[in-house]
Amino acid sequence: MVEKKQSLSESIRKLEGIVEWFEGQEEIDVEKGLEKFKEGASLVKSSRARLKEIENEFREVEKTLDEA
Amino acid sequence: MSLISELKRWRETAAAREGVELYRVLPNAALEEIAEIMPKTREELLSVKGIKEAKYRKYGKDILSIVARHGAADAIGAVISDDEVSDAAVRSAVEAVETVPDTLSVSQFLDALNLELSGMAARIRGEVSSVDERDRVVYFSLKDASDEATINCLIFRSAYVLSGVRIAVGDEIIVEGSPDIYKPNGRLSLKVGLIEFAGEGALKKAYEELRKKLETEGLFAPERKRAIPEFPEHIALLTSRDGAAIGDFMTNVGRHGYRISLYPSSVEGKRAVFELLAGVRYFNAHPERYDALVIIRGGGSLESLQGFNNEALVRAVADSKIPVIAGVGHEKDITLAALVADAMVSTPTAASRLVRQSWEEGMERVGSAEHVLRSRVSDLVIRLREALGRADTALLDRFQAMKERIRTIVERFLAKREALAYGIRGEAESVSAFAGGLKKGRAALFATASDALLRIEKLLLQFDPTRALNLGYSLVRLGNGRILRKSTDARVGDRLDIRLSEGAIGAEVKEVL
Repeated sequence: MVEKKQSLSESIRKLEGIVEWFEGQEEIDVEKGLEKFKEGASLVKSSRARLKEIENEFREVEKTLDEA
Repeated sequence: MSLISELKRWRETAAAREGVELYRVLPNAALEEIAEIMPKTREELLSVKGIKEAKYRKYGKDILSIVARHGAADAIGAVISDDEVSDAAVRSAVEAVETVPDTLSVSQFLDALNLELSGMAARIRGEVSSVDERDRVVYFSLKDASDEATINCLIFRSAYVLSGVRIAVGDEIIVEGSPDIYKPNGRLSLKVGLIEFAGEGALKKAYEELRKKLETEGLFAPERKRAIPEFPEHIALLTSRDGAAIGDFMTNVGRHGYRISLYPSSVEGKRAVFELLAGVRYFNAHPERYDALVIIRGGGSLESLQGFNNEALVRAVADSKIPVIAGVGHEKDITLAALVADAMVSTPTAASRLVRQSWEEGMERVGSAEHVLRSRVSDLVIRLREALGRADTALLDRFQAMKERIRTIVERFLAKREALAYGIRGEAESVSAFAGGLKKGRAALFATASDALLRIEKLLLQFDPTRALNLGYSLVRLGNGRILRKSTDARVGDRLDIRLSEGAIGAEVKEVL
């Protein structure tokens, strides 16, 4: 779960990095641009997969105050 | 519900009633053993480790009736309702309990009294008439304002600290506790678990004092606040199991695949402090498991919210290793627990919004990134297409040129071949023509020849010099027969032969002019 969360945060940050790269280029190198786009497209896909609606899990904790 | 969870619920109620921690009622192991052996009699219950006479007297009835009800419900199934079953079961359980020894020692009697008294927990309001603070215990007495009714009270230091109040003579307070007889002197006093100031005025004063104190310590400083992490997944939820707050939170938090762990706690009044505090500690035992700790309850008066103004709880929230979102409703005064939390909102719904916020922003962020990527790549594709187009034209041109060259080569070859073939054919033709000509015989040959002669004759006639003579021109020749064209070619004395249109005359050069 924790890795998953980090990877979503990271994916989006990476994705935004790619967008920034695109926006920072005066003249986009075709080969590099296509490579970046490919990476971006797969990040969009994986991020969307985690961002879509997923049912929550709910549990009530066991109060174990014996150890307290 | 399983027997063990039923027993645990009962224990929570009992602990809350007495204002003690859960294990002081019965430890988990004892509950588990009860659930295991399902005692039906006093003896069976007493065989459980941790349950002696004292505990038995205090809780025996409760436990046996829970077990009996559960066993009967199990046996009969869901056909008969709980109430119908419990009547018979409880009656038999109670009968088993009500066999009390006849003769008692003083100590036994006092124990028995104390057990009865401990079940008489009460909430009492009065004025402090004396205070004696000792190391481990604070003794004080309460009396009514109207008459002189007085009761001695004691509170353990830990509970006193937890209560977060400092009482002084004359304070109007409310205490919660149960009566107890101190066996060495037979005096009755109220064992207090909780002290709170009575009335909004006193509460307000205590609130302001604590607020000032914590502010001086810098506990509310903005730089202490941590950001609520992006995309929180595991949410620690601290609130009441029932009530509107949890419903509001759950409905509005969205479905983002959270794992929500609820630590059920009462949230009402000051007694909530124990459970709230336990909850904050419970989650903080493993802070790495949770992304955010959400503490919520609906709004209320200062009195009903005072648990959240308790110093011990406020400090626990401030020390939480998990970022805390407080959605503790308030009217005028923000609770101190909310002030030290990392994020503070006024309602459970607002707390849920804070939790789901980054998820919703995530959607937008990915959406806009995708949009930019798409437009950039379509620019790229257009550029590529243009580049391809250019390359295509260049290629076409080169191809055309190559085609041209190939055609020239082929043509040249063909031409050579033709020429060669033509040459050969020409030779062959001329040979055969010659042969044919020979065969055509003389007549044809002569015909051709006479034609040619005629043409030559005509040509010759055209250039016949006598035609010029006829026109009056004369032809002058020198003696050697050469035609005289320039006067300088003649010398005096030369003989000239002049031909006229008709006839000729001889002449001599007398003078060259």
